[in-house]
Amino acid sequence: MDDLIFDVAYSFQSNSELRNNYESKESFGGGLNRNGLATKESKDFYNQLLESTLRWNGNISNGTIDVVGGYSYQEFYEEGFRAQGGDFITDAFAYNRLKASNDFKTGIGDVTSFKNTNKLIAFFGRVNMSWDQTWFLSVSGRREGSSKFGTDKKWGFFPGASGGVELANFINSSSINNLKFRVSYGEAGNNLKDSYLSLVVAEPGDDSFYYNGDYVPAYGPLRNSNPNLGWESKKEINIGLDYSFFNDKVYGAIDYYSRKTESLLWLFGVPQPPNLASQTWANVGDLRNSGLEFLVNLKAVDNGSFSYIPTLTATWYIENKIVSLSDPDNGFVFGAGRNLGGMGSPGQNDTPLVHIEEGAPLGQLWGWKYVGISPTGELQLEDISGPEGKPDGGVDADDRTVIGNGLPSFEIGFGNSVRWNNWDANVFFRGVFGHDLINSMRAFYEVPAAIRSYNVVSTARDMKNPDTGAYLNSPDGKLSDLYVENADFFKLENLSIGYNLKVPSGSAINNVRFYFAANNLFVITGYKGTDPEVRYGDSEDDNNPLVPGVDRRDTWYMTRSFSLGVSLGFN
Amino acid sequence: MKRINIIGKLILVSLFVTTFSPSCTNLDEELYDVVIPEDFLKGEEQYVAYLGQAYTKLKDYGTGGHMQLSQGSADQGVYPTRGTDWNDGGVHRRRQMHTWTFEDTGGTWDLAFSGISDCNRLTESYLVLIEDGLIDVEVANRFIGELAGLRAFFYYLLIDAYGNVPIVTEFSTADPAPATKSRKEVFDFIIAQLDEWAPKLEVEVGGAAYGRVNYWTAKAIEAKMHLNAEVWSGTANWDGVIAACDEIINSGKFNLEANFFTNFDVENGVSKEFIFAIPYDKVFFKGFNLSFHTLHYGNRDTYNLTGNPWNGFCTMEEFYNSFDDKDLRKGEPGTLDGPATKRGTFLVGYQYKLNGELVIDDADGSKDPDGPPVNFMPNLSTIGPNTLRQEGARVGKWEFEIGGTDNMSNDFAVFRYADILLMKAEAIWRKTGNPADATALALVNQVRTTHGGNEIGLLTTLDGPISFKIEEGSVAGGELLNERGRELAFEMHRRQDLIRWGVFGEVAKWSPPTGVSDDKPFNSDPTRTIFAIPRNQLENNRNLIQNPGYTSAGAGG
Repeated sequence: MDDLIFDVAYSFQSNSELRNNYESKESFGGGLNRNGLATKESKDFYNQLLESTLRWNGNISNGTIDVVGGYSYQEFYEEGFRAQGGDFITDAFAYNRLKASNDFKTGIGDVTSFKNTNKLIAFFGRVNMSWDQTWFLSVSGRREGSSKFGTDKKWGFFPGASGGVELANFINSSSINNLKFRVSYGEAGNNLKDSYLSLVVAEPGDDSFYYNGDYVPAYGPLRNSNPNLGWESKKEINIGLDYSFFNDKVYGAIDYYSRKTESLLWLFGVPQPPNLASQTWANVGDLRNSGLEFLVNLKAVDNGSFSYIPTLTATWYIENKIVSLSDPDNGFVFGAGRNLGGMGSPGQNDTPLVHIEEGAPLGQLWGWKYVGISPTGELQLEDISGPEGKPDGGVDADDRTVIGNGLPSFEIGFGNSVRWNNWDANVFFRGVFGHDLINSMRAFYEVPAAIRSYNVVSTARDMKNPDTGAYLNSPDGKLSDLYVENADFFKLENLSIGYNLKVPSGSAINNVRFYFAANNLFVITGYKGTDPEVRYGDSEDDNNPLVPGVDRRDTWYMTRSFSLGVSLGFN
Repeated sequence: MKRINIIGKLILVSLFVTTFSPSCTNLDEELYDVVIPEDFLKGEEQYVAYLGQAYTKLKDYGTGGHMQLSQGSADQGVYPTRGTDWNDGGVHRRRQMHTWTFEDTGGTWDLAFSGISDCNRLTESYLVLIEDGLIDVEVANRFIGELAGLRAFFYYLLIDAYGNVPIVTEFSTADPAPATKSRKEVFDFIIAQLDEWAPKLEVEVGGAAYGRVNYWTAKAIEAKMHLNAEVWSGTANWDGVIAACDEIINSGKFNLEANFFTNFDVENGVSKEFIFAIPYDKVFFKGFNLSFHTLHYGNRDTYNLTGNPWNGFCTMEEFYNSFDDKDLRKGEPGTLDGPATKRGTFLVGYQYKLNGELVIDDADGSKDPDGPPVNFMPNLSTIGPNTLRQEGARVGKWEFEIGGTDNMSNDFAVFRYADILLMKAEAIWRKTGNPADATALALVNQVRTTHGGNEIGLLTTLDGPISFKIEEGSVAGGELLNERGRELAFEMHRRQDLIRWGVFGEVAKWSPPTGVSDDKPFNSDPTRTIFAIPRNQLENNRNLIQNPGYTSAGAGG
């Protein structure tokens, strides 16, 4: 009997934050400079989702068909309030009595509120079909609209299709249990983070306008708008083979993928003039990457009381390329090359980190080449070029070059699953290879002279001329390849051991398991920073994918955790 | 999961569709904390608020990137590196040594072109409002004229700083990547704009017009343009300077203040000298924080400031010494007997707290020769990185408000009447070539005697030694350059003046030495008289051309 199922689901999610902060009159930073500084801030995020689907399962000759269609409607809200004021007579109230802040009487105190909203609407459908347990076909489509985009660009269509055939059914071999060949293509949309970016909006800035003897508010657009903002799309082709041989003793998969990001949403640097601001959110550019993935499981031992199954995964990253970063029809022209990033303060605000070019690989770390420290303590960098294309006797922007690669070339995972009577154990190792990281911690704090103002890293002791012993005399850091490190690593990511207690049948409890688990037991790496993991985006720039390979100073130490537990299952 | 019959399904589906259909595919954005211009621009109150946006772009003039470029490259102001303070990757030393790169020169560009883009946008908005019959045509045209005047001012900053820049007067219809125009073309453009728009500008001064671009602002820009015409366009026009200055002088609307420091008080909006001033305010218009740039950390207690100042900006010894001790503009040092009793252009000597105690710098490692009591010494041994914390005379010209924050309320005079008088004197001298020209001397002395309040102003010649020793003996117009320096110290005319006198490249003679030898030595190349087009602008606009002598590395082109 065919089934027709209609589902309606509604959900409401709400998240509230209240932040209170007080910096005393003596605290370095805000408190000391503001004679006490209190901040009270609340934020509410909520969203509601209504989704309905109509599903039909049926049988066709020699096969099955499964059809799903649906509609989804989602609204997001963000609103909040913040007040900050200083100049207190006493620290006694902290943030609990903002009225005591003199700043609100003199106009220096800051009060604001905000609210924004956006909607996401989608119509979707999918058809799954199979024949003879041999041929498989699936076709899907999603028409999705977001309020964040320009008037004519709100809707996107993201189709997908996949087909497969079980080749084992054609090969008469007892050693081949499963050999499924798959091909799929899919598209997905990627949305903007903020609302209203396509609209020209007026809003009050921080400053007023002196008009007719009085200050009046000044209003206007504070950023560039782009009425043509639309969906970014990710397109992926995948060709793969699932296999299982020798009575499922060896099984796994091989996949080749090729992904393309089109109409990349990026805060594009634009000419000023004529623009109000130097950056505009725009759909520019295509990125392409491809890779090869292997998965193999081996039932090395499997008898009634003992089994051992190792699992190996491997990924080769074949290509990672910036195809284009322009949209000339809308006036966004990339040009010959750009430097992105910004190392940060102190002293390296304008230091670029990554060089991007159309047609070049993604993740080219950019900077000077370190030579050494002179007998008198001067930092020496390599003079490789100049305005005329040859060394000019000085080190400046001409002498920057590619000093590393932020993206990996190879990744491996090695899992081990062991079961022996009532005992079970899992051990998982993981390694990533071929990527470099800019070690920001060293690039800022491997500076002996900076000890007068802030803490430095212990390797600052090594920053001296080997002959004279003169320490580096620069007051602050300067990014060079000295701070770009190979960050290959191999680690024991997690381990768990469990014991399942035998329970008499018929009791209320049907399952008792004692276990021990641990994470990050060891890491083998030559990287000197806190964490050698690949940085696929810049953590100080909304995870901008065009700036990979930067280990920022906000990286927290990896934690090693141990847990002991008991899990109970009830009848 | 529910299973119901076909009719039930249809009812449910139709219920669902009717409930949600009105908003089912509606993706219009709902605005809460921003407003679209069509809903905002309802009347004069909003039209004025809109106009104000262009003026807010002036906020960085006082102590922002523009100021640091303009002052940090000339012979009055310097930001020495004191240990790790004010190193900022060496940018201040590079500006001082004229070895800046195209990553150090963005300040004026950002200020001026964000202002120009706003002027263009607003002009377009008011034209649309006129077309739609929503605004009084006369009001709108007044705004448009004012915006053209303001835009001319921003271009005046650009021609001075970069020379060759794009000329853009449109907004939505503008070329998305406008090309570089030559300095001569920019010069002709500014003059043409002033000719076209000045007659339409307000002639009343003060009161309601205070802080706004008016007819006299346009005339002051015109005078500056002609004053620098030889450098900027290749053809001198001293008569043009005299004519523009005369119009301002003969209007009778301006006069020298009997007390020089009235121009720099917290409440200096009353000054009769201001032709165009930026009305800074610690609450409403923030951006002028000279107090924090120049004062020592411990000076917090001198003025009961809300925070510790940053101990940065100070002056060169030679410049300090170019003031005669009797010159009331100089000020006097604080001594161990007590603080200075008179305000001056400089803060030197011992510093005191409001309660009369000495300001003490007891930070570990302070190597200052006079020990922990803070004693500002005019001597500046190096521009860093190991300048002593108390070295360098500080800027005391603008009054520091007791209880002030890091945003000062003193207005900043962009163009001041004394400057007009000195410009006219210079034009006469350059025209006649006579360093004892009576008319020119009278103008200089008018400023000197009014503001200096002493008798030494009776100059016999405009020539003389320059404040920094360019060569022994007399330099043509040297005394006039000194006088401009003294009168207009730190008012951001100095770089331009040095260039006009042809001595900007003599940086090695005025700058204290640098303490880091990996920096290139002083660069005296003539290409340094204009700054490099900033890296990000070159990267973002392929039609820009880098100025001669600078790299465009990594920016393509």
